[in-house]
Amino acid sequence: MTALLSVVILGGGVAFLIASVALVRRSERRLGTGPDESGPPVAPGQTGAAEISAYLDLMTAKLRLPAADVAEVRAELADHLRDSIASLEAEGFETERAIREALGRLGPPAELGRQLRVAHQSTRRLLAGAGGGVFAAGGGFVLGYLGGIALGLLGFLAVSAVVALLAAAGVHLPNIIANDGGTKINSLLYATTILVAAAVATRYAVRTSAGLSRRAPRTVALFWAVAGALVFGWLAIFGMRGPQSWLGVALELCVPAVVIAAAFVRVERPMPHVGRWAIIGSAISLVVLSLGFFAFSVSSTSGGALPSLDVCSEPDQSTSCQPDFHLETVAPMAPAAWLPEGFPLNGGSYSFGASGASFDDQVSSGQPSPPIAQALSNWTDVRFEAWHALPMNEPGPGGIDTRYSAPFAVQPAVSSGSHLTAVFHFERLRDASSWWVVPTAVGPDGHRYRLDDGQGGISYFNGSAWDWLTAPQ
Amino acid sequence: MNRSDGSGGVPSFANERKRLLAAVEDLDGANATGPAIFLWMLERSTEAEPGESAASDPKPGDQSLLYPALHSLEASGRVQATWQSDAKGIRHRTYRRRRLLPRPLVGTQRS
Repeated sequence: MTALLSVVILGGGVAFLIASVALVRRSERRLGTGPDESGPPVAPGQTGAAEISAYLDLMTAKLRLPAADVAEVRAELADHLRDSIASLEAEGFETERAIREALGRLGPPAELGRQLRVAHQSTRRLLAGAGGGVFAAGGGFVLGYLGGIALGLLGFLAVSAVVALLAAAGVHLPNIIANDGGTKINSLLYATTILVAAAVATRYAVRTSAGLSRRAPRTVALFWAVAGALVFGWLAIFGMRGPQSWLGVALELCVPAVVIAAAFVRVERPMPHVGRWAIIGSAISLVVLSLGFFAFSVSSTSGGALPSLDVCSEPDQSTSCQPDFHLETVAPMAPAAWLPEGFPLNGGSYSFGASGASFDDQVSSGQPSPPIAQALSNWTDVRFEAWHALPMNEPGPGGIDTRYSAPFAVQPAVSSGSHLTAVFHFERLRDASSWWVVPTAVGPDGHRYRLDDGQGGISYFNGSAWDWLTAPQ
Repeated sequence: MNRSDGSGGVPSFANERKRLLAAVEDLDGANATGPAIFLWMLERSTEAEPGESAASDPKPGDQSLLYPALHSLEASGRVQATWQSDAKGIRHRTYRRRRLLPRPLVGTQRS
């Protein structure tokens, strides 16, 4: 059933892309140079060629239609005039008079051009252009997204190659992506894909709606620029969530400007034709890139295993194995005499979900536990403190980062039965990365103590560009 | 030549559309060029009684609204335009009534 659903979704997606590309190509033909087979509208040796050309030029000036429509109208009127002049001459008119009469019957050229423009730009075609523009924008967004991924990967490969060459030449480069879990690279890839997707979608929308509504691309560009800047700008800044970095967010903030540029800059020029060889070339590039990445990942992992951490399997049993987590930076451990049976707490546990990181501490005595609020009745301001920790994805003892003298986040502990709980949204903090959460409280002597050693973990930012900009440090 | 003006002998655009559509209907699905359709309309108006001619009908020979009306009918999907070559290889743009359904079977008569 799942396989069938996947096939249906994949097939539908491919059909949608093919339909949107076909729609865009049809509009491109309309906006192109016109039907090749209609030939030159006025032959140089034709009777009254100069007068007819002059008349058609005046009419065309008021036409303001896509190139194919202009060519068709000119060809049709030239054919009509040729036929009309021949008929009048057959009726006995002199050539000069026949030309004047034939042109006069069509009325003033400017008025004819205006009337023809109004006839072509009907409400029906305007609606078709709006609908077709939205459809093409959808297909363009998907294609642009795929192209953006390819472009981002190519850029990544190019930068990697340059860095490798510089490193081989002995140039020392700062490691700007250390300890970020790939966040910077991922955010740049993410921003690049959105930028390319928004630009391609807007250009597709402008060209397609212009062709279908029989309007010049520049006249519909304003609508699509405003609509695209609002929709794609909202999507890039508020809607799409993912890894973020300052450079990635800066690129995402450029999306409205890129959309406006895509709607106006050289919009009268035909879009590059994506032919068979372009598709074959892209597919080969993608395969080569994938193989390159695979080879790179295999060589990097086979080069040597990461040094293993010294892990205390039984930290409570072997004090010599207990690493120093610098927990005294947070607060001294609460005196055992002030704590009821079952304390210190059992070290707690945490879980991640859509609502953030949830911490849960509970009394660990073997006996039925009293409500924790009652057990801590002599304590006030019971809370969980989140401290910056030493990088946990690197070899080392870990623990509290002693460069900080205060927690970066504090949540009051909520007591429920034998549990103390709090929820932190580390994924919404720009530089949380490695953290350590410790439950603390103010004792009977008025000083703050920690109730247990707490525990640490790693989390990376995951949210929209706006979340990044408004996130607390 | 104003679209909304139907007085003083100036042809109204709406009337021209109606007359053209009636002429294309009479062609019964056959393709015809703009001049051919115009001649057909001219013959129809000549055949009509003098009293039936409306004030808004165009003067004989006035073709100023012929192509705007034909292109308007095409844009609204009422007629279909195609390029066709004649015996000399000259291409002409021809019009015929657009049909939503296939042409009737041979032997059936239009009412």
